[in-house]
Amino acid sequence: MTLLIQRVLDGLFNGSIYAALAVAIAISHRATGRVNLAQGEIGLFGGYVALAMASPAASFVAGAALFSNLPGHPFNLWVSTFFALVVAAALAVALQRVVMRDFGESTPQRALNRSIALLICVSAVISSQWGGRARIFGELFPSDGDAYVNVVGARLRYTTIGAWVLVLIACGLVHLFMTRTKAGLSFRALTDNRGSSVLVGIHPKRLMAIGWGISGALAALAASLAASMSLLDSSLMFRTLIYALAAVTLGGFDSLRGAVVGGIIVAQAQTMIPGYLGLPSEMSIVAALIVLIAVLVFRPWGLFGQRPVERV
Amino acid sequence: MRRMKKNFAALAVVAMVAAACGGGDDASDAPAEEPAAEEEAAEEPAEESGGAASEEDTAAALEEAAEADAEADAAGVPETFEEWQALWESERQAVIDRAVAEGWGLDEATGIATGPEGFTLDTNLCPEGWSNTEGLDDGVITIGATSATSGSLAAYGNIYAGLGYYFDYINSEGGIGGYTFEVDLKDDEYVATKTIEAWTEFFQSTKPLVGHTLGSPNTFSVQPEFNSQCVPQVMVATGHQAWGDPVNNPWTTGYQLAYSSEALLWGAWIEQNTEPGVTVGAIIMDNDFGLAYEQAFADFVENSDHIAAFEFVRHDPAAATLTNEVTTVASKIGEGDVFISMTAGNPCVLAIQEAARAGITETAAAFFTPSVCKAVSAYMAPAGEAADGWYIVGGGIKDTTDPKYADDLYVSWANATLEEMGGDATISLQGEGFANRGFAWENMFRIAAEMPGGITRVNLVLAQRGMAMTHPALLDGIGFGMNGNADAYFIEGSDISQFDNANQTWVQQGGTIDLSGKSPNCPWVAGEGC
Repeated sequence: MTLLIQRVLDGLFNGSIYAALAVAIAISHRATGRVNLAQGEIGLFGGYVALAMASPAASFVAGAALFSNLPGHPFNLWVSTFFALVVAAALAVALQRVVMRDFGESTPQRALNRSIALLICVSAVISSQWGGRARIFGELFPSDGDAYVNVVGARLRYTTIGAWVLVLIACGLVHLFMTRTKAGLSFRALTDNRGSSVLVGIHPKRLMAIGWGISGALAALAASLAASMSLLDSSLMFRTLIYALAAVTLGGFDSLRGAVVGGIIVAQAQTMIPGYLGLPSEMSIVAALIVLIAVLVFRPWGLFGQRPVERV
Repeated sequence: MRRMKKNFAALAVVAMVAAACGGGDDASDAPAEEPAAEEEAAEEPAEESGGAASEEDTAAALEEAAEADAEADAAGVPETFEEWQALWESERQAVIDRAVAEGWGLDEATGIATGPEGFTLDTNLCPEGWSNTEGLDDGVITIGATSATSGSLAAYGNIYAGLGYYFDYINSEGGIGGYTFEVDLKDDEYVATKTIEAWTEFFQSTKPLVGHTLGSPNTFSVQPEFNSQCVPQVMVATGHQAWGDPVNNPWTTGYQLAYSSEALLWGAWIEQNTEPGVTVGAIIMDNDFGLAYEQAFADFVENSDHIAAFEFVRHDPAAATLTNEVTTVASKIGEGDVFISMTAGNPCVLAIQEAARAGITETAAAFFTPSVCKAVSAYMAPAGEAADGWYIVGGGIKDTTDPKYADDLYVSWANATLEEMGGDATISLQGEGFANRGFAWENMFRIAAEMPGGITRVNLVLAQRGMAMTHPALLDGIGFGMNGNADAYFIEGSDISQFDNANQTWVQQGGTIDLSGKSPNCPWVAGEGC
């Protein structure tokens, strides 16, 4: 039983990362009607910016020398991470306005090709700037051997608690934006009924940019959380993207709550299926793919998504 | 329509599972021509641990070392750089004199090259058009190399940065035998299929004089090609015991302590330092590299009355975290048991951190990290306080960033020269490439240059096969050299050390263990072992 509980708790940390990236994908999807496969890489760019801000100028981390001109550099990791969210948001907005301006109007195939191209480009920029070597990102939360809460003999780590606090705060802020601000309401109107929204004077391109910006920040949050418990390297977010896609498909592309729940379910599948079926750890990604396929077959609009209704 | 969707989905699931299991760019593939071999090997451990001294010899050497100390090993070591250089020159000359006396070299008439202790190279088996001097172009020797410089093992790419700076230093001193050196490095991301692609390109276009590979799966993937192309595959950066096979793969040489020897030393140490009935838990990288450790240690456990069980979990080489795997192992071991990490690259750090988070380091009698994770700056320092107290069978190599070697004559020279050449002496693995491997490569070329015929592919192989030097980057008391078919491993000694996180240094436990010449050759058969 203790092992079962431990596996559940272990899976929760990954669930927070997948949830954050899944929400990011869901928001950009709501903005454009298309899936942005470069979401993870945009977030990873933010992660590296945080690293550069937190690293001394002589550390051979690209960008550290540039940021050393700012008073107070090297910055605390929390400050650096917050700044990274801003940078990732700005990068996402810039990419949407310049490169992906008509992303939402393009055919699904063209949109897929363009987002793959964007993924490759951003990944190449990251590799060229920061290289392939893994970097120590630092700890956002204490993670040594004593940093846990005992739950019936299992360890609920501070990192898991902290990650979920951050993700829920971020999701809460997104929810408040969507429900309490004019821009957020306009965004919801746009995603619910694009045609009518334009007719009443809502500017779709500006809101799409806002959507991408929020997505970029959430992706950077996911990358920072992942790097804080692992190592920051250029391949960190690629696998995370696959799990996050499974999560957002499971939860529903138009449901932020669904994306969070989907992240939890996918992470638990990733932990439980190989562990209890005695499968090699390489099969953990297959668990996510099985979830993805099953959802597409039996409930393609997701657990919390809205079933598309066609009126004739 | 719904039935079609379900059928399609079922087919897609099967295709996805097949694709995930198929390997592709997964580094866990065995050599391309025998994809099933690794599964067989996992199910049927080798009947004997080739590539390592006997368990009796290993245990005896460990006991002897435990009662000795490092200072005793240092007796007779040169005290000035001039004395060192004189020693190396005399050692090189001894090899050359032996080569002349025993008639080593290529007989152009028969096409057979002979070396020490029955070693032979049959150049009649080389492809038509093969040249003994291909790669010697206008006074420049091209060395081809593949290594991970990106991905989870990217830190090892620093070895080649260090080696490159060493050759820059050699070039600045006038080169060797009238030649200067260039290292042409390709990134294979520790993916065996990319190693094959890179070496296909090397063999077809660059055509280097010699080649070098890093990684067990990667080296396996191109070893047949090296040996059929008759290109020296020099001092490969992997400790797999299979490289000790001078009869079947004469063009391939290893370098570092064999993983099988390391595994035996773990076993011997556990028997001598823990209570009977201990369980050993391990996480193992799921590829040829990890399998080498697993097989050797499993064999040891099978013959051990002291170790009650060996519980392990294999992990994906590309895994970003090891939480699930370590949690599983933690559930199988308890107070007084032992934990061993059999992994490489980024997982070195992850294993240490996760073991601490899972509480293993609080309850285990001992916890080991493998020799490939020894680099302080790359793998121990980043793990933070969790790194304190880890044991290692260190492979006998001095970490040039370890503060206890700050006053070491050779290490201090190497660090200063590395910096002069543009390198970074704070990066352990650059120091490894410069101080450790650079020395060996230089002496191989110097010996070959003085042999009849000068620097040729055959002479470079013979120079390695007969080399016997006092290596300044190895711990005192550890021999360095090979002896034809009688001794196919350069390094067969080690330290056992424990990490002191406060001082960021490995503290050697007792004296060094030297098993030079005691490891039998390892004619490796995929799926069976030595």
